[in-house]
Amino acid sequence: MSKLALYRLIQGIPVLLVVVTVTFFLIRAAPGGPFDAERTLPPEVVKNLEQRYNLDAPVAEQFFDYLGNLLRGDFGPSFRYPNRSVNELIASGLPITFELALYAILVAVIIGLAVGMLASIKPNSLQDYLPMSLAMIGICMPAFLLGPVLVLVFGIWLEWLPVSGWGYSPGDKILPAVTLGFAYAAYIARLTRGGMLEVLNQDFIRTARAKGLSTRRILFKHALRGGLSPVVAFLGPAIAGLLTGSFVVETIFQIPGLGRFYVQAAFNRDYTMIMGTTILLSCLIVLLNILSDLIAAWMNPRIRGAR
Amino acid sequence: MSEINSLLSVENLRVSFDTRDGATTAVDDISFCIKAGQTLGIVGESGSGKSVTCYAILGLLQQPPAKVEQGKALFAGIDLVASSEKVLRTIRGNRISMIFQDPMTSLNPYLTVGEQIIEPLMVHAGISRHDAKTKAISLLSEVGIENAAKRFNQYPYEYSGGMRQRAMIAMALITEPELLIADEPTSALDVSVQQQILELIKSLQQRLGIGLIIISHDLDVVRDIAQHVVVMKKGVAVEQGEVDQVLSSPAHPYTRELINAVPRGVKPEQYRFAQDSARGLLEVRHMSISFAGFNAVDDVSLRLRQGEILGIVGASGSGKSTLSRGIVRLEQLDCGEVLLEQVPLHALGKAALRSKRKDIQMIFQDPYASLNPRMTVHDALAEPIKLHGIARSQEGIRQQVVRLMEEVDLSAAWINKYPHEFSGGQRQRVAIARALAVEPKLIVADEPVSALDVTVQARVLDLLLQITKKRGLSLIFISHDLKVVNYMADRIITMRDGKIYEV
Amino acid sequence: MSIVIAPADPAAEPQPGRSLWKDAWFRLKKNRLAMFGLWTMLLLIGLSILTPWIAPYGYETQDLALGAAPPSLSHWLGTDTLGRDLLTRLLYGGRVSLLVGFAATAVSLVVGVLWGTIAGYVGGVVDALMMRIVDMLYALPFMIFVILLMVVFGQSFVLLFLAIGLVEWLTMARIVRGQVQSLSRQEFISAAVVMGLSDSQIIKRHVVPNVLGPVMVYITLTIPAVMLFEAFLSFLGLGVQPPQSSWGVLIANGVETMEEYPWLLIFPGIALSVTLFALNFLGDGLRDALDPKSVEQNRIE
Repeated sequence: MSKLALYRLIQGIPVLLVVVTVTFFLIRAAPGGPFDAERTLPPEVVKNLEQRYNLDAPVAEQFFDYLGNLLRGDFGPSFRYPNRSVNELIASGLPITFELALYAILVAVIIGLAVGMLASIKPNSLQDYLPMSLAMIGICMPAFLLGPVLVLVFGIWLEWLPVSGWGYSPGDKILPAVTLGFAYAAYIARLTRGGMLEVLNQDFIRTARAKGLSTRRILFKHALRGGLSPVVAFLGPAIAGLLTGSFVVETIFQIPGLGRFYVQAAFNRDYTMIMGTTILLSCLIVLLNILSDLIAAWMNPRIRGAR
Repeated sequence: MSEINSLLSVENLRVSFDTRDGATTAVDDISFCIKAGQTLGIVGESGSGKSVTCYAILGLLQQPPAKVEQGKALFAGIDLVASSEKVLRTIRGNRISMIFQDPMTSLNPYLTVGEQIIEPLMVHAGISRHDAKTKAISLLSEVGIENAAKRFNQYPYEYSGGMRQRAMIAMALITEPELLIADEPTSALDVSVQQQILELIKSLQQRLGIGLIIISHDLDVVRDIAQHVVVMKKGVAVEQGEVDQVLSSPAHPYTRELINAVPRGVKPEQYRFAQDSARGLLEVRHMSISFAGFNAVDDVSLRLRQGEILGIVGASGSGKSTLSRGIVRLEQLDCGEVLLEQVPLHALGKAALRSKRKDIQMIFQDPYASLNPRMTVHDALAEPIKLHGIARSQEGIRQQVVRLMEEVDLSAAWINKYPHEFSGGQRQRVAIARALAVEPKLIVADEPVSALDVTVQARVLDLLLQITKKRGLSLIFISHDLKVVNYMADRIITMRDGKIYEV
Repeated sequence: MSIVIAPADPAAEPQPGRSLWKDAWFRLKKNRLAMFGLWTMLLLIGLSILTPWIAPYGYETQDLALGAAPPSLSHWLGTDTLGRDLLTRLLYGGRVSLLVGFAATAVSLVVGVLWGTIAGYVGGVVDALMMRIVDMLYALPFMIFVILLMVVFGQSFVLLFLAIGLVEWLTMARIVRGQVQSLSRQEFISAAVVMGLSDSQIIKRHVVPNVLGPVMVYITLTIPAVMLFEAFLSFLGLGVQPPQSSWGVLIANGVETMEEYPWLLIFPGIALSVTLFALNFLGDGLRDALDPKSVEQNRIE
């Protein structure tokens, strides 16, 4: 198992390299980007860029310079805000986005697991159809639709919850977390239901019943581990989706997180910011994917035991 | 058999299933009983309802789609059929235990074996984990698992098939039940291990004095281990009584059919092979096939004459399947030669091989996987006919197809049916027809009847004998079942670990 | 499953067979939600095709004097801030959304199926290599790359569905390869080889028809995922560019003015949601219909 972990981590390195390389060269190819000969920028920015990126040097050198800076944790100066560096912006936005993603995933996992398990106990009954239809809504109403609707209903019409900001007014974290997490709650509910149903259909569950065990024991001790495996495998892509989804949610709810900065950077063509954020988020996603894969593998005793 | 003093008495049990085509009766008015310390065998082929009966007794059926329409199952004064789930749970795994056919899938792969064994003891008897563990380990030793203390903490994947079944037995007996139900306990195991497990069950049952119901399709198993037997067919108990009596003088025609279907001795006179006149057909010289360093087939040579049936017998893993696939060039040879009428099959180029294929065909074990589920019988048989130019016109092809179907005893009215609409035996006939379609000289049959019920098996075997005789075909017949091979073959070869031991 | 019993008259007329497709269709018909999905999709596709003839107003027609107006008899769904009829915009936007959905899925279908079939059928080293590549690509956060691509090169419509399609092909390849691999192990494929069929004949006649089922299910579930992604991109201003608009763009515009003119958000929202619903129900229904394992057996009690 530890061999597998090492192997996966090592596999991750070329992936990260690809991420950085592709991002760098894409940005470089961008019309009007920092590497474009014809650009109209305020002179201070030009001066900063020239200092940092050595823009007259050959491409390879520029790339390795950037790589070197990255490894030192330096993402460079912002393209649009002359006096701020990308690092600063990331440092202010990342913790907020993390918090949002954390709440969202709590919402998703707790609701999703509970609903999915309830549905799997009595398939094709009301206990199954009702929550699963609700889950379908979660899948078919994306965050950028659900968010505004929730804002409209709870914020504007009913005025129960605040609709913008993060940490300013009490309860302003509720709507964003729910908006972001709802779709994932739906996916997790469906995966849980599917996984549980498949496990409950296996022979060893029949053996457990023949041993006279209670429903609760069968569910939690025997079925859960196998039934959860699709959910665990999903966590990696889920986090990736959450981080991407934060772009939309932060925009709608005016939350000063990394996602919102990214969207603004995209609009403003703040290339260094885009580059830095892309690389950071991508690295996070790659690492979290590896982690979730390893956890999923660990849950299988056969793989866990293999040297 | 009187119902008083019975350990378990089943009366007029009837179970039906709700299927897409309406309600079918799986168990039709069954009654039997078993006394303490005795063994009852329930014998039947697939679809006989033998397993459903026992599931119904323990309330393990999913209702719906199943429905217990009537009947009683009296155990220690309680009617199990009418009992609530709560009551049943106190009895299951406690006073009545059950073991199942496939120990690989019947054990939870995510929990250690030890954890699963102590579970019923802790749940039903309230014994502490520590005490339960002690008992479990000694029980594991008793059922023949060495290093029981270490094995206790291992997972099912670390056990072999036979060991898993022993663990299941330990799990069933740890609560010292009064009745044990064993549903085909040896069918999924290797032949070499089957006898050991049966012996184990037999000795444990005698020593502990528990009642045993053993479900099996194999009459020999029941003869060996049971005192009484119930013979079931399509949900009905056609005959029951003491084992020796029923099996030596069966009253019901079905019982007789069942007994006669097991191949005994050699084949009838008319199918015997006339040694002298035949010429050589196939020669295999020093064939070796290996996978990742493992020698599946190790320097095998054999010869076959036209019209001869060669039987190849061996346990699973002996290499007999790989040998057959090597002959037909479904596997690459590491070295060696395969000569069909002097033509080197192993060396032919792709196109030459394809046209030579019409001389040598193959029949496989699993009737459910050997036919393309999306093709009708007509299409499946027409394909080889068209491919090798046996017939070319629509009408010509159709006539050939009908002729083939009649040859394998399938009604021509089924020509447009799909595989899933047939039974296992019927599908195997289609597979045989498909092999015959190209007019081969040799057919390689890899365990062609192993997946079939014993009465169906007998008919397919006789069909194969008829066809090979009529067409003057050669047949290589592979099986793990010595009885079958003895019946079919003119000459027998045994294989073990990839090598041949000639008989 | 009914087992055929010999008919009394041996020379009787051939009985009709019931193919697996027919079986699946019967099962699908019983699933009301899936049929709702099917009819809804057919309706939407029909409307999209007929849009130029049935749209009440021109796509560009503005009525600045009117401005944004709530639903009325002359404008069934109301108008936007420039006085453009929302129903018309919704119809035209739908064409774009559906087009992107189908086109992107087609891209992922072609690439994924080819890749998966070759890997699954040939097996061995080729398979190992091809799937290793898939694994590596899978680890990349494609969504972010697509966003990046659109930021950098954003103006091309073709690029949009190429990029989106390339996100999804990996899963398709994996599914197809898994199916083909398990198929190749089945004995009727060996029988086909022994019969003397060539590889291409085997793939065409034996592999493809049996892989079609799961592929169909996957297509039906990929289209909504793709449409969602397009709407997401358009919402961020990175997807479909003016003068074209899609439902995503309409929703983005609607959000801006949702307090004053909620109908501008609600109607496109309903359109997108209903479409996604329909496709997902249909996909789920197809999956259940094509998979003979029944769910009723799974009750724990």
